[in-house]
Amino acid sequence: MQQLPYYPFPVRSGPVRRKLTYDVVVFTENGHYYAMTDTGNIFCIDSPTACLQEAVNYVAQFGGGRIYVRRGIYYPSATTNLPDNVSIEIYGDGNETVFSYTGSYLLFLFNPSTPSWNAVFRFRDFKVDRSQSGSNGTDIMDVVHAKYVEFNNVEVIDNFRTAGTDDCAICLYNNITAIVEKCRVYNKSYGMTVGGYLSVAKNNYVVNTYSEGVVAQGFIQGSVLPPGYSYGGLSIIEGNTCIDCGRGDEAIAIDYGANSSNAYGVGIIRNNRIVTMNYTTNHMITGVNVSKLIVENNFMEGTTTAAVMAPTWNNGSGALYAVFRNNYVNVTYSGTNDVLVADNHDTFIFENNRINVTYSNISSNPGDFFHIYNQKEFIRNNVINITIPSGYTLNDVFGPVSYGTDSNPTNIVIEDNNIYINGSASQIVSFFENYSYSISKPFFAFNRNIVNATSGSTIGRLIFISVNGNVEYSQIHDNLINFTPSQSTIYTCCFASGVVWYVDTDIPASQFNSTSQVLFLKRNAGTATIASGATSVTVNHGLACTPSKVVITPLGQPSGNLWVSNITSTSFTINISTAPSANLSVAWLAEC
Amino acid sequence: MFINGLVEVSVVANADITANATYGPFIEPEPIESAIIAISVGGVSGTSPSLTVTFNAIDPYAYNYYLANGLASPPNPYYTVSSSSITAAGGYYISIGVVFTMWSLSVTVGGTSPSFTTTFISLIGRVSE
Repeated sequence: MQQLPYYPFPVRSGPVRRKLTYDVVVFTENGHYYAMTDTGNIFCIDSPTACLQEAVNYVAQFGGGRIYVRRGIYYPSATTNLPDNVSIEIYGDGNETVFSYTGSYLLFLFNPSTPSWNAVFRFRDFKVDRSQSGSNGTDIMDVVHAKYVEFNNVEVIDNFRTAGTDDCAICLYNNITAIVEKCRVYNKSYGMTVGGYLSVAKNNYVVNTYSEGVVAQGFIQGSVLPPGYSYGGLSIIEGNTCIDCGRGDEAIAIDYGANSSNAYGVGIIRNNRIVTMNYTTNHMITGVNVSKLIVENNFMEGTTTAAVMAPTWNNGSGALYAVFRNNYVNVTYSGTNDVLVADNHDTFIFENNRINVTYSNISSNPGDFFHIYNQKEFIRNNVINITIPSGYTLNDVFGPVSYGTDSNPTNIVIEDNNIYINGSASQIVSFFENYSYSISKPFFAFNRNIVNATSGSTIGRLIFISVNGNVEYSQIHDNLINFTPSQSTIYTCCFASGVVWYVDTDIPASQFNSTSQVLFLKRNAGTATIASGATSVTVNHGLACTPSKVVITPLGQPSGNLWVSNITSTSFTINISTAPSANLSVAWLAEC
Repeated sequence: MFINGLVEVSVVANADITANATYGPFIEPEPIESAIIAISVGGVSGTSPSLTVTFNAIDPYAYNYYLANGLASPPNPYYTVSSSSITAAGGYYISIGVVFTMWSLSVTVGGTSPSFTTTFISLIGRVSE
């Protein structure tokens, strides 16, 4: 058999034709700028935009294309305006393609007043350097009203400023899809604003911003909408690192604008790290007028000058759902008595978080640590350490206020938390119910929590309940309370006339201070006294039922046989066959 | 003024009320857990005069949010209670069934040329157990 010659792969003769990946290349040589087509035709030499505008105009006549900006330093003196109804990609050689300028004008701008909603832009692999002295405040890259805009591996270095507006590195507003990934911004008033019906800010690195470091939003109220769309969208801020961001505002936010009259959209803030190194942050995470919000798996460490995770407060209607879970917070509040979180979504879930907040340099008492106005609250499985300086008193750890309705009744659940107070607090829970129910039963539960306080701490109460409606049902069980309240364990106050609080608890009624009617749902206990010379005593059992069982124990040698009679919905009678010669105390336990 | 856990805030002191007015918001250093609005009217004149006093409990956080963000309108009070229509001189009070730290008061007059003279309106509350 003849052996065939061995060739590792087939070859052919003739020139090798390389497929170019661009339609236009922009490059700089010997102090001049050029734009050249993929076929070698140079159609621009030295323009104010370093031939970028000419390159954009060239590909736009074909509906778009790819513009490669070769490595080099470019000094544009004017903005490159992007046309509508095109698909354009502008990319460079990473940090080797540098746009350097100091003036107050944008590098790229797309903002049509009557958009086609058909423009697609991709920017990647270049750097904007405005770090040189004399740089003035400006937005750098604005894209508004596009169908799709993406930034990938773009770096911006600027001089830090405290501008209130128009000083943003990557500024994308009211697009259908906006994605910013793997970008870096240093020293800017605003880092990146990612606005799109689908808006994603992912794996970015932002350092030292005065206002928002990373913000995402959907279509905000009042914006121009594509046909068939409404305000809102899905916004995701994920995997970002923000260092010294939001020195005067907030580091990371889903933001529909504080002036929005209603809440819109879905926001997810997850897997981010927010930290201070050389400066302080104002807020680390906020959600402003966002309808449905998830904040999870974030790490927040350093010093803030306001609430670390607030506000997530909303105006008007539409605030439906907020979840904070699996977050790690280790923050010193410097000079602020602000809350941990302030939220008024319909449903509020706060679970599996590790919270460590130290108040310092404050001049007035902190208010509610959790300032929460919700119909449904679930605060579970958190470890919460709070340090309050001597001389100041935290008002409440949990301050829920509820406006439930018959169709959406209050459900406040605080369970399985580990709370440590280093300092003084008025109460651990202060709960207000504000609705009068005709059908549904509002419910409050405080179970299996561990509350420790340092020696020398003054804690006024465990629970303070004010029912401003007509009824409340509660369960308070199996808590481990390692402090002695300076006032009372449970305090009810300010109920309207006729209001009843039904409670199932293992806290003795003797530790209640109730200015209102309290009825026990399952059991109650106490001590009655059969007076010297008497053969019975009637006991009001305080149960919401006619007890099925009453157990009595004489606390002294009885003078005769003891038994119970006349069990009614309000009382029972303890009898003794022979009147005692001295008062006889009898402990009792009654159960439904 | 605090006296053994009581707080008294004088809102209108020996004044004539002839027009609608709003007072506050006031912020108390400690939560007021039980309070009344005490009203004393020395004299009434005008044609079919009426006076209604309204107490509003305001969430301080929401109010600060309104101020900090320059919102168009302040937050709605979370609790409101009004007096009955006052048409004659005498003493009146409003019971407040809510705990509050920030509050405001408004007076609304009705009738023709109403005047409620020598009027005192104060909040008297209790700050703790």
